[in-house]
Amino acid sequence: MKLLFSNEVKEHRFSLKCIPHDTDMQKIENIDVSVFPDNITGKDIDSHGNITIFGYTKELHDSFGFDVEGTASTGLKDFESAKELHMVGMYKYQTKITAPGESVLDFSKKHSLESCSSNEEKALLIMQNLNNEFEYRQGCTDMDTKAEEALKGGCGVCQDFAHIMLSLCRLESIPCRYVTGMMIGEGRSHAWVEAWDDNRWIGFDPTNGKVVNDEYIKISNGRDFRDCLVNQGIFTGNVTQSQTISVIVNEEQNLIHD
Amino acid sequence: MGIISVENTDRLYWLGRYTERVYSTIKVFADKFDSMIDMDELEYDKFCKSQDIPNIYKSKEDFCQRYCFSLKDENSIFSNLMRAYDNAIVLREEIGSESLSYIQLALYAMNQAAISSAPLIGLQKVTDNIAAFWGMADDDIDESQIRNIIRVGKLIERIDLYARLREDPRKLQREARRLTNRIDKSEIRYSLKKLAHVNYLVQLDEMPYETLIEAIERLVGDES
Amino acid sequence: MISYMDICGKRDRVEDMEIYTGADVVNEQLARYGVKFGIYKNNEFKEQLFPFDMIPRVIDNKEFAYLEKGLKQRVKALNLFIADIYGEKKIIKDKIVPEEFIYAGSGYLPQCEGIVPSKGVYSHISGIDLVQSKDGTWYILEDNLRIPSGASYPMIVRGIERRSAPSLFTGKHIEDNRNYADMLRHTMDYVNCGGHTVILTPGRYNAAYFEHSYLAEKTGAHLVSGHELIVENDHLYFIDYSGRKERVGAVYRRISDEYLDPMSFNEESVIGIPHIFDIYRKGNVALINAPGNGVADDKGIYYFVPKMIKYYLGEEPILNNAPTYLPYYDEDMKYVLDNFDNLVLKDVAEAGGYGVVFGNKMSKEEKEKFIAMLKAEPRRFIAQEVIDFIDIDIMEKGQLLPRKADLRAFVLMAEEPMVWKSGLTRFSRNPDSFIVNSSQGGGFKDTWVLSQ
Repeated sequence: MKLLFSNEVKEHRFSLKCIPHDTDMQKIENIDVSVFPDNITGKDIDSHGNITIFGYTKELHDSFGFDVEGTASTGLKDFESAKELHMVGMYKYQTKITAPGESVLDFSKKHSLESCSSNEEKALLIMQNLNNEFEYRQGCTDMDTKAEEALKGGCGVCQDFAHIMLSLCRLESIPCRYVTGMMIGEGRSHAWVEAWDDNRWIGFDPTNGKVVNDEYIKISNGRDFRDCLVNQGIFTGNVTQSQTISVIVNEEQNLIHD
Repeated sequence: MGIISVENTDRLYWLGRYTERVYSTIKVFADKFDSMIDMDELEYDKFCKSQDIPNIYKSKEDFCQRYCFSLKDENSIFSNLMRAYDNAIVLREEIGSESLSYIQLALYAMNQAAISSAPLIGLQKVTDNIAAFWGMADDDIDESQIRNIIRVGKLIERIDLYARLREDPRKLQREARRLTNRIDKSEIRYSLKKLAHVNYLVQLDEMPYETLIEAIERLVGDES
Repeated sequence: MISYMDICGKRDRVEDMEIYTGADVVNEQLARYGVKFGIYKNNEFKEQLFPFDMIPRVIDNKEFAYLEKGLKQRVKALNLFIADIYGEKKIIKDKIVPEEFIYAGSGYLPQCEGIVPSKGVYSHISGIDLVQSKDGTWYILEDNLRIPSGASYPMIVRGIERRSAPSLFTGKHIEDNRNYADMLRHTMDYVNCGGHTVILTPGRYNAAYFEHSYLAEKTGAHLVSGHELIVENDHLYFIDYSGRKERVGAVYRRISDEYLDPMSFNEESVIGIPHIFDIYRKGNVALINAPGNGVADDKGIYYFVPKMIKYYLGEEPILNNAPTYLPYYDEDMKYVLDNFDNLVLKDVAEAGGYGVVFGNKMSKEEKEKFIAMLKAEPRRFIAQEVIDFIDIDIMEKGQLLPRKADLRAFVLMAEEPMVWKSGLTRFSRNPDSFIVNSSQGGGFKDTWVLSQ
């Protein structure tokens, strides 16, 4: 990731959630992180289980960025094991971003889930319906677009697909979380949803209409996009900034040797 | 040993300056007021010049009222007392509730004086309380550094004011000597070179008042 | 029930009472010491003296011992509740508290999941509001576990009272309440993670600035603003005038959770300290009170506190809640609708005496509108029986006038909960009002606890 400021900034504090963590589905090895300017001050795990890096650059600088390299073994399992239902309550409730409005409620009414018996089946159907009816198009939404606004507009990007799906699942009282990650063959970061069913988190990618498999590497998860910001920072300086993220996923087969 | 932030050392310094400013300007004002009662209508014009403040007053009555009591007049004695209060109120922990209470009392006295028919008597209560504040601060504050910062503020303000009033050079020499003895104990940030300059200026035969005012104003930190 | 008359002596004329002569002096002294709170009127900051009434609330030692026991029990249970909610969530699993009262409210902070603060204390300073009904029964009205304020007022007034009317105190065996600073200091030191203890204020334009600065002076903690503290290498530091960094191990913060850390909460906050929450999570600094406590002092959660006491402590609650109904439950909704005129309704999202309405004071249209709202959002309201709580006399223009008064008791938690043997008694100056909040013009009294 690289951030360019139109002018110099100082007193820059940042929190990064850019390192994938081990899950039942993936194992992360040989991680190498570099941040520039190089001022990492600490590292921790947040309340959603995400690896967070903190830092502080006091001096003037006009750009900021980081590189993360590593190896991920994916597809180790079809799901992540989850805590019991009473422990995942916070993922069952709407956030400001996912709060449903008329469009989401209409969508939910229009598509009966009566045929489904489990959360997994319901989430799968919601994903398919959304994938069919919501158009992938860049430029009609932005970073701050809420689920309701996006659905009303009829088009959006992976972030919007995920938020709408979260809103719809939460209407059904399904605990579900937002996931930021990467996908083979894509040059940018991706977002999808995990739904809770019987102590399992199962990944659904409404943008591609796919159940999450070994093509995906998860970086972070939370209640919505806000919990998964790759880079969050505050600094002193009156500037405009432009951010570029490039993601390169190279596939290596047969990492498991006898 | 306590810890003091940069901000609070600044505030202590300005508390010293503003209390001194209020105290001294009331004294000077009292003299002028006396001569204005039965004679010189325009005495206040000279006063304004000496204080380097704009003469915005319409008459001696207007001057007496606004220069003393108007919070809208940023050069008024009341405005300066408010500045002292604004600094003091955030220093309770450093100076203590007892010392602070005298600034609060000075403020009440000022409000009373403003509506009194004999403002000088009312203003005397203001100076009484400021004097009590200094006494209490000297007596009650453990931390010598804190006492010394307030003192330094007071002395700098006094030199500044004496220079503006073109006071006797010997008075200025005395205050400059006291400042030189005190300033290191306050641990305040100041320029050694400028202090030497001030000491040089006060020794000159022909006292360069304007240069001295400039030098003393720039001795410590930034004006705020 | 004991009255001040039993202690201060009854006379036919107010002027003859000892307490009368001292009153003016005390108020003058309070002005001298700047005992004020700030308010905003038409966007302008004003400092107002907090009206004080000399007639104390008197509580005898037996009665206070009972309150003390009940308050300790309640605060213990509330601490266990907060620990449980951000930890194992057994109380949800066992369906004692419906989870939507946790997650759909504004008090729960997901950022606090899994955090165990220093020494496991969440609510270091609890302000528990009580009222006494005319039959003598005490009821809990509200728990304040975020930043309860008000202890400084009775604390400073006691010394003044004793100076102004010394004979009032002679031979009366009144517990000295000026030990609050020591109790607070101990509470802060107990959880300190190494280093200085500071009191973090949003600044002098905060309503309770007097209290912040007074408590700093009396506890010897440093009063600081957010920009004077800095997080470096996983620790918190204060930077002094010479640029030296002094480690800080405990922060009694008088700013709300939302503004505490722009990296974790409201990113617009300029009074907070970036990354302080992250080092708090690591256990390198104590935050007093713990962030996220709002989950336990919500008006909706209040209903469940007696159940928590049974659940966590296996004890019967010593102190009662005011009889409360939760329209969320169908049977309670029915009761509320049937008895609407006898109830007071409270919006769980509001505080400070706002969002409180009396059923019998609504017009027909207002009532219909309110009931429609209640049915649409049953979880948003609680309903309570109106408690006819006792009046305490106040002195006004040489007359004794009865006024409603509540009591904020302060419970401090270190190794064990400690109850301050005093409290803030607030009264309504308006004879028809039950609302005692200082932001709405109420005044305060001292609270005398008898030691024998």
